Amino acid sequence: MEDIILPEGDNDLRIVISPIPPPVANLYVRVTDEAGTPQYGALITVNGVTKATGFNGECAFPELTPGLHSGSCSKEGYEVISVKLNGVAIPFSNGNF
Amino acid sequence: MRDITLPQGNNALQIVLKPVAVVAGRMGKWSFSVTVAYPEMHREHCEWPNHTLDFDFDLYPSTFFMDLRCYNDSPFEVVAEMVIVGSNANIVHQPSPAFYDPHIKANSSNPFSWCMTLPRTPGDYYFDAVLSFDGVVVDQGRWILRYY
Repeated sequence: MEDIILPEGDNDLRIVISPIPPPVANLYVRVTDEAGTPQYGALITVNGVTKATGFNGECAFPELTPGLHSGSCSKEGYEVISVKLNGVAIPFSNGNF
Repeated sequence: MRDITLPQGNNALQIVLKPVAVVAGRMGKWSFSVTVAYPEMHREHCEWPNHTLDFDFDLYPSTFFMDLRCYNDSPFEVVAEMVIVGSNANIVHQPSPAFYDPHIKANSSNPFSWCMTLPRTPGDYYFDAVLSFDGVVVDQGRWILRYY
């Protein structure tokens, strides 16, 4: 707590505040095959929102709320064999994680 | 549905897929060709294992017309999808809708042509193509043309 010295008479105190942005979690998805080739057209769903990967095999879900989320990955003719979040393998089943 | 816990900040989700569909026997002859009529435009390289890529280019003022030829000997319908993007911000990132049919269909007697307009802006042009049979992607590749 800082101290202020109020002189005799009228004093005008003005304070400017700004909102603290809520914490966010950005999710960047990259889908490849076993050889590391980016996979186009994989459908990624996170919390009911579905996006398709581009030719670089990537899509993004920005500004999610940190915490628990559900997701899935599918591409016709393919099956999911590995899912890693921040480099750590996570459990999945039938493309759901 | 399972759950994942996302911490605050940036998170990288890496997913690896493995093909399960076998479409052997469906593939006919699938080819692209590029003939560079524009002297400054050079074919750099292609990333398309196991298939021939040929593009036919004819130059018109400020316009490239590209013939995308697809031949298929099988009775299955071939659907080719092509997306063109550029690494240069001045390059059109998507063909004019008037020239763009995202699902061009062709067969052995009906190779299709596909054209678009690009500005003469130096840079890398990426031609990405996807070939699918009955909705199953069986092949995809990329040509990179470097215009400088």
